[in-house]
Order: sequence, then C-alpha cells, then structure tokens
Amino acid sequence: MSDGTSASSPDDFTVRRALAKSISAIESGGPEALTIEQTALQQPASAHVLGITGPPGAGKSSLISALLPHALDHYGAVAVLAVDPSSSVTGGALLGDRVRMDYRHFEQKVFFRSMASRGQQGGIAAATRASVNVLDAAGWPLVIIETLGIGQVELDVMALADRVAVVLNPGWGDSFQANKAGLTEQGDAFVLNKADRPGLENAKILLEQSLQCLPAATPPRVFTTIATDGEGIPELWQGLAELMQDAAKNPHSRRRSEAAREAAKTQLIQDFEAFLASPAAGSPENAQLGDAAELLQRFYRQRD
Amino acid sequence: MPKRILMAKTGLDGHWRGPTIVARALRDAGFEVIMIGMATTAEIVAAAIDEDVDLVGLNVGGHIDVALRAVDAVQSAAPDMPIFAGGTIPPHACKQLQAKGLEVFPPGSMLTDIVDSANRLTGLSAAQ
Amino acid sequence: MRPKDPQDTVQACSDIPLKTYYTAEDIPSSHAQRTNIAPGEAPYHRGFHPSGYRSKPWRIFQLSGFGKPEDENERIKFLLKNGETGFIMEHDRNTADHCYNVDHPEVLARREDVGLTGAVMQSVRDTAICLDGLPMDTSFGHAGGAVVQHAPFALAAYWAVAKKRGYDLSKLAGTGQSDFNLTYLGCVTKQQIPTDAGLRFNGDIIEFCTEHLPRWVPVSIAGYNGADTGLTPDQELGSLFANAVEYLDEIQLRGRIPLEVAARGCGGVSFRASIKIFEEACKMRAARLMWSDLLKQRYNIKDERVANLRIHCVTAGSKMAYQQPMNNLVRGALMAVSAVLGGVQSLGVSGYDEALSIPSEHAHQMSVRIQQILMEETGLTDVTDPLGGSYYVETLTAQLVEKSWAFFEEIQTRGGYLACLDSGWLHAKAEENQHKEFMQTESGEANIVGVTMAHDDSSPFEIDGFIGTDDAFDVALERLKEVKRTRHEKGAKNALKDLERVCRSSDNIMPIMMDCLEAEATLGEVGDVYREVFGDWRTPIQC
Ligand code: B12
Ligand SMILES: Nc1nc2c(ncn2[C@@H]2O[C@H](COP(=O)(O)OP(=O)(O)O)[C@@H](O)[C@H]2O)c(=O)[nH]1
Ligand SMILES: [Mg+2]
Repeated sequence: MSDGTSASSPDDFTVRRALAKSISAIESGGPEALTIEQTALQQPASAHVLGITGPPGAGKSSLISALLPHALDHYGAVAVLAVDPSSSVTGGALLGDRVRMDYRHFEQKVFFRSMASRGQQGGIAAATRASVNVLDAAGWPLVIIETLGIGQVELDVMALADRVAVVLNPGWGDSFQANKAGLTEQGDAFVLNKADRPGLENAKILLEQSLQCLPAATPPRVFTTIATDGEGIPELWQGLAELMQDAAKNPHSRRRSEAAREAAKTQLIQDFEAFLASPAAGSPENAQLGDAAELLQRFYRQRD
Repeated sequence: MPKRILMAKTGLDGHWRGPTIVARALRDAGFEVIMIGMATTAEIVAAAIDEDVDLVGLNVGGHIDVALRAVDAVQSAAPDMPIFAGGTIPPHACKQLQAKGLEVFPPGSMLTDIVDSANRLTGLSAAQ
Repeated sequence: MRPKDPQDTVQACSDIPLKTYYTAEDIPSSHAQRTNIAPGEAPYHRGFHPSGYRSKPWRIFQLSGFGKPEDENERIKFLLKNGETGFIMEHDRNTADHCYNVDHPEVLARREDVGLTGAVMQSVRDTAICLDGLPMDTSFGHAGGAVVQHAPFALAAYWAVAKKRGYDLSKLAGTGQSDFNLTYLGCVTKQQIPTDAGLRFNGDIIEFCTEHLPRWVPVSIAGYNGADTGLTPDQELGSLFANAVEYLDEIQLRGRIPLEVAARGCGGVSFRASIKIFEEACKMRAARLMWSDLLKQRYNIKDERVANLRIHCVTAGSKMAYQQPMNNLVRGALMAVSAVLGGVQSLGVSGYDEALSIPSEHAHQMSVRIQQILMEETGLTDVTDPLGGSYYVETLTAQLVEKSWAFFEEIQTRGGYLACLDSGWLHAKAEENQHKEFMQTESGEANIVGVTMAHDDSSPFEIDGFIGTDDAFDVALERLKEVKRTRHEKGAKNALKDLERVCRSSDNIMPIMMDCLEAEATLGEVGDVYREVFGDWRTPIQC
C-alpha cells in the first residue's frame, strides 16, 4: 500500500519525503520548481481548497486543529499549508502553527507544512499556489491554507482557495474598522472565534450588519466558536463542508477557477522559456532535473 | 534560500527558555525555525519529513534514552538529515549523542557557536 | 561584571542605576523614617522577629526525590540524617504535573524519563511508601503538589496517609505549594486545566485548610519560579503580590472564611536568592514591607501574625554552571548568604551539579553542609538585620518597593496576574529579560567564571550527572495494575463520579478528593475527570 498520504513505513517515508521535497524545490524556485508545477498541472484539479484567514492570534491554527477530525472523517486525508511571516531584516522566521495542533489527529492522514512568507505580500508565500497544485496532483482531497494575517486580513488566499473563511474575535470591529468593507466582501463564511471573550454579542451584531450591506442575495453565514474547547466546531465544520460541496457543484463559483489554473500554466511556460534563454540554464547544476522532481515523477507513476 | 530547522522537545518537560532563546538566535541568523514543542519520536519524524527541514534540533530535557530513540528514528527515516541537540545533557549523555554523529550543546553554550553549527550542518558554511 | 570606566552606569538587575557610593541623603524620606523601626515590628522589612535567627534558625529545606517512592524515601531520610530540618517530596513531572498515569500514551512514549525528576505516585499506596518512617507529625513536610492541577491530589494523598497513621490533621504542619508560576509561566506542561479552574482549586484548598488544617500553608506562591524563568527582582515581587491578591479577592468574593485567616495562609511564599547579594537581600526586606502594606491598605488587615510574611528561599538554579561544577559550591554559599542577610525563614541551596542533573547524594549533602556552615560558623546569625541602616541597602530596598508596586499596577491594568498568564504578557517579559542577559554574556559585557572566562580547570574531580534508578516505570506500571486489581472497584468508581459532580458544581473539591484517595482512585483517573470537566489551558507560548 502506498497512496502517498500516510507515512507509516519506511517506504511511505520515501514517497512522503518526495512530496515534501517537491514543495521545498518550489520554495527554492528556479527550473526545478517550474518543472514540478508544470507536472502537477497536467493532472486535472480535484482537490477542494479551503482558505482560513484572519488577523494573527485570531485562532486560525487552533481552529484548523479542531476541525481536523471532522475534515478527516469527511475527506479521509487532509493537507495543511500554514504561512507565517519572515523577518524582513534577516529573512529568518519562527513558524509556530504546528504548536497549536493536536497531534492525536496526525495518526491519520495529515500532511502539515509550515511556510515562511519569504518577503511575499498578501498573506501567503510565493510558493503556496504551486504547493496547492502539487498536493492536488498528489491526491490530497482537501488542502487547507492558513494565511499569516499580518496586521490586516490578507486577501491573496482568495485566488487560491475554493472557499474562504475569515476568523475574527470579539472586539474585531475596533481594530478592523478601516478594513471592514474589503474584508466582509472576501469571506464566504465568518468565524467569531474566542466566543469565551467579552464583547461577543456586539461583535456579532456589527459583523452581521456589515454583511447585510453586501450585494449578495444571501449574506455569508457567521459562526461562533471556541476553538480551544471545541465549542461550535461541529456546526462550523458542517457549514464549511456545505460551502465546499457547493463549490464542487458550481465550479464557476470557485475562487480557484479553471481559468486561474490555465493562467498559471501559461505563466509557467513563459517562466520556463525565459529561464532556458538565460545564462544560468547552461550551468552544470541545472543540467538535469533534481532529486525532488524525479522522486515526484516516481510518485505520480505509483499513484496511477 | 533560508534553511529550515525543526526545533523539538523530546521530554514531557516544560522548560522553554533554552529552545526559545536558541530558536530566536537561529531566526535572527536567517533560519526558518519550525517549532513543534514537546513531541514524541513519531511526531518528530513526521514533522521532519513533512517540513523537509535541513536540520533537526532536539532540546533534551529528560532521559537521554528518549532522545536517542528520536535520533535513531530520524536517522533511519532520513539518513541525510543532520541533527544537533542541547539542553540538560550530562557529560555521559553528550558522548552517547556524539557517538551518533550529533553536535551537542549543553548548558553554557554560546549562541554564536550554535548558529555556527547550524550554518555548518546545513551547508551554509564549510565544515571545519 | 566590572565596568570599563568606574563612572560608567551600573544597573541593578531590577534596572535601577547604582551609584558608586551612598549617603544618608539618598534614602527616600518616606523610607528614612522606617529605618529605626525594630525587626519584628510592622512593616517588618527589618525581619520577622527581634531576635531573628537567635530564637529560630532558618529551616534547611531541600527539594529531593526521584525514581520509585522508596528511592525518594531513602533520599529524604539521608537528608534528614544529614541535618535537614523539614522535607520536600518531589513528584515525577510526566505523571504528576500532567495528572497522567504511566500508561498514558504521552508517558508511554517517554517511559525512560519516568522518575527522572521525582518519584511516581499514582495512588495513596505509593505516597505511603514514600512517607514510610518520615516524621510527618513533628516535621514541616512539603507534600509536593507544586503544580496547581496536581495539588489537590498530592495534598489529599499526604493527608490520607497521615490520617491512616493516626495523626491529627489539625496539628499537621506543611505545605503543598500549588504555584501558578511553576507550570503556567515557568515550565509549561503539555496539558493542564485553565487558570480559572486552578484559581478555584487554590481557593478550595485555602478554605479546606482553614477548617481542617490550620497549621498547613495551603498555597505557597513561588516567586522563585517566575524569577528563574527570567523575571527581574522587582517583577518577581510585583507579580507575586499580584498573584496573592487573586487568591485574596477570590476568598473575599466567596465570603465563606475570614479574610485574615486566608491571608495568613497566603503569607508563606518562596523567592529566589540569586547572585547579586545586596539586591537579593533587599528584595527579601522589600517583600516583607510590601506584604504588610498590601494587607493594611487593600484589606485593612493589621494582625501581626498575618502581616508578617514568611519566606522560603531557593538559590538560583540558573546561576549554577555546567562547566567547572565545583565553582557552584561557592555560588551556592554566596546566594545563601544573600537570603540569610535578607532574613528568610527557610532555605534550600541548589546542588553543585544543578546544571547536569538532579542532585547526587553528595551534592545534596553539600547543600546542607553549606547551610550548616553559615549557621554555625560564620556569625551571620548573631544580629538581626545586619544590613539595616546601610545607606545603600535602605535606598535600594525603598527603590525596589517602588519599582515592584509599579509592576504590580501594570499587571492590574492588564486584568490581573492570571490574565497576564493567559495572554502571555509575563512570558514575553521573562523572555525579553533573559535574552538581554544572554546577549550581555555573549558580548563579553558580563562574565561567568568557567563559562566565558577562566576556562582552565585542573580539578581532579570529573563530575557527571546523577543517574537515578532505571526501574521506576516498570514498577509504577506494575503497581498501577495492582491497585486497580485489588482496590474496591465500585468504591473507586463512585468516588470518581462524585468528583466529577463536585467539579461541575461550586462545592469545595477537597472533601471528595480525600474520598477519592481513600478509595484508591488513581492520579490519571482524577486527571481524566479534570480534562473532561475543565478542558485545557490555552498555552500562550509557541514552545
Ligand atoms: C530555570 C530553570 C527552571 C525554571 C523554568 C525555566 C524555563 N521556563 O525554561 C523553573 C524554575 C520554572 C523550573 C522548573 C522545574 N525544573 Co528546572 N531548571 C532551571 C535551570 C536552573 C536553568 C534552565 C535554563 O533556563 N537555563 C537557561 C537556558 C537558556 O539554558 P539551556 O536550557 O541549558 O539551553 C542552553 C543549551 O542547553 C543549549 N540548548 C538548549 N536547547 C537546545 C536545542 C538545540 C537544538 C540546541 C542546538 C541547543 C540547545 O543552548 C542554550 C544556550 O546555551 C536548570 C538547571 C540549569 N542550571 O541548567 C533546571 C533544571 C533544568 N530543572 C529541573 C527540574 C527537575 C525542574 C522541575 C521538574 C522541578 C520541580 N518539580 O519543580 C520543574 C519543571 C516542572 C515541569 N513540569 O517541567 C532539572 C532537570 C533535571 C534533568 N533533566 O535531569 C534541572 C537540570 C535542575 C536540577 N538539577 O534538578 N526550572
Ligand atoms: N480564549 C480563547 N483563546 C483561543 C481560542 N482559540 C485560540 N485561542 C488562543 O489564541 C492564541 C492564538 O491562537 P492561534 O491558533 O495560534 O492563532 P493564529 O495566529 O490565528 O493561528 C493561542 O494562545 C490559542 O490558544 C478561543 O476560542 N478562545
Ligand atoms: Mg497560526
């Protein structure tokens, strides 16, 4: 057995490592990254992609941890890409999203990858898009993206995910006044997490009011949760699962549209050609595909 | 490209000063440090693989056999992945870890030496 | 650390600039009038009693334990034989601190570690083994239970053993500590009850002791644990009193016992005695003064038996170096001097092998010997508050008091001590400080002998870490099976059910905890009830 999603035997480790290494290769950029994404894009898109965004500390990671058992029940396997900020000065980063995970769920098929933003604005890393495509091609049925959410809610995730949940806390109205309009337009669902904190009712009213102003026929739903106690989590999952189903049924409504994938492909080919034309292409270290791409190829063959 | 380092605690031991200050020094030196807190051998291996780190850092807060088991597991799953360790490690335990090829940093180690080691082990600087 | 130029600024650890010398003019006038007050008189900065150590030497009190309960028992007996005058039980952190039995998956994954830092006591039977032949009736005993969620279990186990041996609980003296700093700030456990549930536990312990164990110190806040995590002396003081008012406000709110009694219960605390001798001595003096003022001003309590703070001190483990461990004998002695100059009532000295492992027998013996030498040979005990009236010491004491109150107030504006644990604010303070301290040694601004300088060590004694026993896990697992097989199963299960009911109510948890222990319910089963009822604390740090 080697479906690439679990890692219980040394053989599984090899396959899983290939997947992990291909994401590293994407992060490193260059021709290998292009090849990998190109290979990935040859598979039809089938994964569901859920974006979780919101300010730092809102409880995004905690929510993902709490949602995992439900998501696993539903999808059988889940991949998570969690983005945290890189220091603009040193380029280093402390990636702490894993600390919030309840590892008991990791006995099942969970692939978790922490990504540093590496200078990318917009809440995700430059490599996030290609990583989603690789995970999709590798057969992961659900990919959850956690944005870094520095300062204000980040919006690039919208173009990668089929549906996006925005996580806020009681008191959100105070700090996000300015951004409210942009924010409310972007979410497919809203989560008021830390419902154990004071100010919940106020926040809810405020949020629902601003959602009512949207042109949409049915405003997005608002969920209240306490990620750390599990309160409201089954309901939230139910709601998210419905959203994901809806996205699957109405492909045109997916934020991650087929058109976007096509655009990515075109972009890739252009990048690749540009690279081949550059002097770097002739250098010996780029003469052949790296380990990662090769392993990935092997992995695709296994899957078929 | 920044190199990636996993920082794990092998014991069910809450001392956070050591791993925190080391992680901070590594971040300030340009590394991406993935914190996983107290983790079992299986969790450490899974994280090291998924995160595809260039170096595994173990904070040893308890019995050395627990750490040795984690070392064996990482080395068997990813033979090419270097490991370094620090924390409350008495001399006899340092030797056991060193015998498995680890660089070991007991209490009193300078952060600059730890950063140098990380640079070396991830290939950012030449081995001495 | 010596400044390059004598005129360069030198700071106390509490970020107070130090002058090259002090005169009478430096003592703030509000404090100057207090310098003539005698020791034993409010506000007690000059000492707990006029005749100080002449009438009552400090208690020699060493943290001790590892392995099986019988290993710990043996070590405690060794210490008592060598001159310790109270005893401290130490519980295994894997099991006790997490309220897990040894068969919990998290523990199974680390079985070799079980017993490394304390004995495994999963049922009252284990506690009885650990206490076998120990002078529970005549000595001040520390029942372990330093960790808040573990305290009710550890205390009930200790008391259940005492009862069984026919001791009168109302005469029993000791403590269990139950300290938030330890696992909510210092060593954050993998899993523990939220702080509000912890506050409730401590309130229950205070009330229960008031009724049944008046001589027991129900909770003992450990400034030590905050300080050795990185808080500066002023922050250690400020956060300790901020913690104390959480307890007292809770008791006041409940209104079931007189506040004076609760305040007396909270007035047994512990501090760290670190290496800056004068600042640390001033800290102990400041602490007594602050407690007395706090009780008077905030709660209108003036009873001198209540307002006179009782202090246990432990020398700073973090000042003990791994390199050239024999140097630590000197450090231990000097830190002990700072505590004694500050007039503390109880003292533990870290072992010279502190940075290598828990103390070996010899290291433990030396910790006792250091104290005996100070007590018997040095004349340190001859005069009460020997530093009193020193321009420097009085000034620094007054400055510390002021600075510590400012930190106390800052905590209040952030919602209080527990809120500052929940939010991670105190952790960030500690981290900042230790980072700064580390950078000073890295840059060569500060030195540590044997670590950053004087590297040549010609000591013929090579010291290695103490290795305890290797059968703690196996024996504990056997004993767990044994107790589950031979106890009255229905009684244990019923007690646990009652425990769950009480946890969900606002009744005092201690009476039912006594029942649980007497019915031989085990640690992990009690922990399961907590996890079910209270859930987990949200750890604010990422490590
Ligand atoms: C400060 C301290 C505490 C503080 C907490 C500090 C914190 N938040 O981390 C407090 C007071 C709360 C505390 C509590 C306890 N402690 Co304590 N503590 C210490 C002490 C004195 C210093 C540790 C420290 O912070 N040093 C500063 C840091 C920066 O140094 P470090 O961790 O060694 O890290 C350095 C290197 O080791 C290395 N490094 C560390 N990690 C890594 C990782 C990598 C990858 C690399 C490359 C390098 C590296 O780099 C760092 C820089 O040099 C040590 C003894 C000592 N002197 O070392 C005992 C010690 C660690 N504690 C010990 C014990 C037993 C406890 C308690 C169980 C006692 C109790 N029952 O109350 C509790 C823990 C409860 C629990 N549930 O875990 C024992 C552990 C015994 C063992 N493992 O064999 C020690 C050794 C003391 C002893 N001799 O008994 N402790
Ligand atoms: N009180 C409360 N705290 C929570 C809740 N969810 C998360 N937290 C805490 O908030 C902090 C930040 O959570 P995290 O998941 O890391 O947030 P992220 O930065 O959005 O990923 C952590 O200390 C969590 O334990 C909640 O529902 N209630
Ligand atoms: Mg996060």
